[in-house]
Amino acid sequence: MKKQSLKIFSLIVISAILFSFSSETGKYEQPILITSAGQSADVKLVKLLAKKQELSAETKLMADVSDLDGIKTLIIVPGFSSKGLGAAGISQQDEMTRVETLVKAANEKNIPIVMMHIGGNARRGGQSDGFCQLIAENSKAMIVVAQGNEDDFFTKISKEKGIPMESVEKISFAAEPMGKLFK
Amino acid sequence: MLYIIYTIILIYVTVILGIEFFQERKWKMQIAIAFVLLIFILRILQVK
Amino acid sequence: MKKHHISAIVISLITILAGIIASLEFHKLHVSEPLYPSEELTSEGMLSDYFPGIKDTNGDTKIYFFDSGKPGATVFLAGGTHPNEPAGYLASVVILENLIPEKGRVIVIPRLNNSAFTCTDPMEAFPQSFHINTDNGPREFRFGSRATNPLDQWPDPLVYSHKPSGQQYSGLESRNLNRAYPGSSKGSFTEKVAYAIMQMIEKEKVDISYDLHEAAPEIPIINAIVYHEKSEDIAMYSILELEMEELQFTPELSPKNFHGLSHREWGDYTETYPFLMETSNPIQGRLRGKTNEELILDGVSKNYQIAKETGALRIVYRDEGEQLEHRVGRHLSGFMAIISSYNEIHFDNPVEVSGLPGYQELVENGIGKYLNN
Repeated sequence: MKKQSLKIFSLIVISAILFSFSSETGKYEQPILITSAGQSADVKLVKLLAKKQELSAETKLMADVSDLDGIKTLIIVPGFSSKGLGAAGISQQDEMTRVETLVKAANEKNIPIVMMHIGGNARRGGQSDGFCQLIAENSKAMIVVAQGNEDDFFTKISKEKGIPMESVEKISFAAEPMGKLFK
Repeated sequence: MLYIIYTIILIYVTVILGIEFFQERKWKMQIAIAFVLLIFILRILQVK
Repeated sequence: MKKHHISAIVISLITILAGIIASLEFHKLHVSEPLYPSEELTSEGMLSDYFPGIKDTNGDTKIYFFDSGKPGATVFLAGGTHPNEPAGYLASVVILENLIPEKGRVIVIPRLNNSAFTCTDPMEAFPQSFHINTDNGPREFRFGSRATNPLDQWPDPLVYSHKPSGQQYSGLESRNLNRAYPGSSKGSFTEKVAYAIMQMIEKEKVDISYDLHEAAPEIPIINAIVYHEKSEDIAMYSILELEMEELQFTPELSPKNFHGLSHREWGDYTETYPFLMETSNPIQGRLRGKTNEELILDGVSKNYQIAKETGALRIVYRDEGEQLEHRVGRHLSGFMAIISSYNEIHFDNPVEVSGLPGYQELVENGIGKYLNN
């Protein structure tokens, strides 16, 4: 009996999460600006997913406040990459300042932020989590590849802040929920 | 060029150590010198 | 004759004997193990064919050509840039010994820094070789050093200044082939080898080039594909394709200001699309503990398990270890995924290969099944 009530409870919770996310369907508008938080190349994969979904999106690794002009939705892909920071020629602190300014400006201009964490556990912990937390807490919706959420890091933020979150098993599966947000 | 200078230094130190080795009266010290000499000689002979 | 002269002669004789034994051991390191290319091999050459400045030196190395006879793209695969990263070397050997070219051609250099195969890194206690069991008994493979043998290039400068960028590295990096590109015909031994490789890529009009590597588990760039910006689309499609095989690779963009590396300079100075792949190799790690052949083959390190459990370090380490089959398998699957992604984009000039095992096959059957002898 106990087992069954647990099953029913889990079903209710799962459907509630799914429902809360599906209510996000079509809520966001284009054009989209895709940028990174931590300079990982995951942002390029998100660009590819957006292309597959035929979304009108521009990708700028080092987007700043002026790039928000005319933008209706901001997608941020958090994940630290030392090679990426090296390529951009900036420090981790510089990158954090850029992202904080961008998030603040987006909030002021009422541009919704969608977080897409697709890098799995390679883009978690250590230097990545500062970026992950900042973006997750300031987002209006989250799409997460499950391997990067094994410790329920994003689930906790989702519950605490009431942010709808979609968890997918693979990067390529993230394209569909991403497309649904805009269609 | 640096290679030649380093090799000359190495040969010089090896010769000095060799003379020291045969003048040394304590056999324990001779063994210690032999340990160092062995590595130097292998390096001069380009064995590695 | 004085007493201390007699002891000096006795000790000298013992020292000479020890020297001979040591010399024989060191000499073994200069003997390359035989490799057995697949029957589809069309020709063999030497790297010095492209730059005679390295002829009859330890820097010269064998090049194997597989030409399908049908038009298509040219692939260059390099193993052994760092001979202390055995999965990269062994993956190139497995490809060499099994490859069937169907369209285009494939060029394989398994021992890219041949000189670095003739020594091990000092103070690291690395084994000189490791063995892979095959149906015809064990086969021995050399485990070498990250850098060119100091006998070929010595002494190291205090600071290594990369040419032509002027970027500065520690002196030890002057013997690192993967900090020497594009190299120079009048430079150091390592720079000459790098120069010869650049000449080869240029003259053979290589379209796709691979440099296979490994790194310590605590290095953030493991299980990754490092790509030049012009290789971006191919890299991204490959990562999605590999994900379908349950293999996670992270994309890493080659920094424009990080000079001397294959994924940067091969792409900047030639028309090729360069890719560098990394797997996790516990024997390179600082926490590894007992350093022996088992660690190369099984990749099981209690210290890394503890580090992972405590959470003190954020490392990617599989509890069952980082077995060589898995690491070689990742390189093999990565090799094929990049080719297939290249073909999707450059469908008018494809390269096709067959006969190669993928990750699942290597894990199930072991590496030995795919070695000829």
